[in-house]
Amino acid sequence: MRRLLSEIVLVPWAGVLIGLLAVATLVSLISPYFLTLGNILGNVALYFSWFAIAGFGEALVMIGGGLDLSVGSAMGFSGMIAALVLAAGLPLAPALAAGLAAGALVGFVNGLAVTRFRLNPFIATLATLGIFRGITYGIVQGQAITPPSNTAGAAFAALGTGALAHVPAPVIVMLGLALVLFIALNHTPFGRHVYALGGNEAATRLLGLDITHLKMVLYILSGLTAAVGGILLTARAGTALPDAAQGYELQVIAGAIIGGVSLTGGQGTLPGVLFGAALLGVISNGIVLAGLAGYWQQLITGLVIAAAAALDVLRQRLAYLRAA
Amino acid sequence: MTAPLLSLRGILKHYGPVHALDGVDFDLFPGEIVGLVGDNGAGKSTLVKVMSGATEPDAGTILFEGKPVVLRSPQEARGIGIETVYQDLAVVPWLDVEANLFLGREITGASWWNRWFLNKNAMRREAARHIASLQVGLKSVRQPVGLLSGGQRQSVAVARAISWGRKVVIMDEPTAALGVRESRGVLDLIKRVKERGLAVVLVSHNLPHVFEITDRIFVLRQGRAAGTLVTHEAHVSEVVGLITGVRVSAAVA
Ligand SMILES: Nc1ncnc2c1ncn2[C@@H]1O[C@H](COP(=O)(O)OP(=O)(O)OP(=O)(O)O)[C@@H](O)[C@H]1O
Ligand SMILES: [Mg+2]
Repeated sequence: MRRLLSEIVLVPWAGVLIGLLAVATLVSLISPYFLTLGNILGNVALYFSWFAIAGFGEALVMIGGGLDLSVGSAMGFSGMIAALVLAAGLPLAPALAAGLAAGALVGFVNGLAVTRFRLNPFIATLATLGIFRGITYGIVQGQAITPPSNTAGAAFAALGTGALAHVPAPVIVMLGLALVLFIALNHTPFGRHVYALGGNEAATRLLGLDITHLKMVLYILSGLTAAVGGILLTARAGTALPDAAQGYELQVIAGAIIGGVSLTGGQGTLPGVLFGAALLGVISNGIVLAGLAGYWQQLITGLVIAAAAALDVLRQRLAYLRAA
Repeated sequence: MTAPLLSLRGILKHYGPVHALDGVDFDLFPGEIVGLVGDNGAGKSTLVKVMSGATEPDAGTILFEGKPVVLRSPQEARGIGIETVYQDLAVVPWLDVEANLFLGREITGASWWNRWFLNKNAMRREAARHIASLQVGLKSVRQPVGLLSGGQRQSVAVARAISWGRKVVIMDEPTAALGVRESRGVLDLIKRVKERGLAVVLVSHNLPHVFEITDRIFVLRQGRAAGTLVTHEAHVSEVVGLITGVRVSAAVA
């Protein structure tokens, strides 16, 4: 029994899952409305889907020993580009392609800054956070862009507002992405190389892996997942605002850290990120249902991050104890 | 006498004003263990990096099995059968033993549908076989390497080099950070490498270890070869004399 317990605690995402269930139980006691299907899928899951989607790419970068502060700007930028292409009268496919390319561009610039110019990831992506937000404002002169109400515009809107068996489209995309990236991270050589890069970069290089290439791929992936989140967010909102997703990087990174992704690299799981983002979603929903003012959310989120960090320390100690 | 497996001739490597290697000749014969010794900064690690492809020399030639080779990267050295255990840099702590052994050479599926995916069963089987045959004494290849003792961790790095090295295994101070018992384990492991017919270059500051397991001792001093001794004919004081450059007369020795 004790052995089973310690096995459970050692599953990297067990802590966050327990936290998620505990907080969900608490919220359901506060409000019976919480556990209704409509609230769970239509409010909670939809709300955290953007953070989780961008969080997957963020987690990959962090597991590889980096950091991407530009995800919020990449979300806003790619959503805006997609809306502009639609507004120019083009069909859905080129709009999506352009949006994704915009996200990939942000990632490409981040990757270049980190690998070729050897900038610290924090500095490099802090710079692109500002640069791409500025570009987003600049190209539309601060205006909102609303996709036209033609076939393409309607199809675009359906990406944000549509649902399949009550499951909102962004939630479906989130689960699909989680599955694909989980397989990539756990069942391909690439995934192992990502963990190796974050765990011991010098060894990874000496073992002959191309770490420049790996880092480029990771930052581009992060830009791409941010773009997916940003496009869905824009589709949901029905209009692209130049300040869309501003500040989201904090939620995205918080979700990853709560989910057990290590800031020092080499550790983290995608289920953890999903549960971490879900925990933030439940907390936010609980605050609304409890009738508390929105600003309490920041305080509670901060406390949850602190608790997650403490739990992580505890978990690592336990692992060492067990090995000794 | 057989021909050398690996020969370095006139190897030169300067870092700005520092003459890390100043025209070094070095030979490694099949199946032998050569101890590479010298004071701090004598150029041992630089010579190791030249042999393992991590550093390109400014001048000099490398012959492998009699043929000139240029080693531009660790991959190229590995390609011809030279594996290296780098000091401190050997393993990734959060990956398990099996993942560390196969890092960069993962086995993937054989069919069209799974050839992008890891074949973890095959790798675990292989890893368990290697670990068992080297008598490293690990309970499971699924333990994260970071949770092993220093000696076990070093053993994993050595085991990786041995499992892949077909001709030469180079080790830069593999016991430097280890306690007495742990060093013992790694030394025994190196002896078993030799039994497999591989040639070993062992860098160490620990002369008792060097005397115990090597066949020859190569001394570097200030980037130059100070002398080569046959281990069972040599005396510790001779080696110390070559390392420090202080002549020791036969009478004193
Ligand atoms: N990358 C480098 N850049 C500049 N100088 C270097 C570099 N690598 C080695 N050196 C210099 O070359 C000389 C030889 O260094 P090396 O690391 O080969 O010595 P070593 O014999 O391995 O010493 P130790 O016993 O301390 O490990 C030293 O003076 C060192 O400072
Ligand atoms: Mg050295």
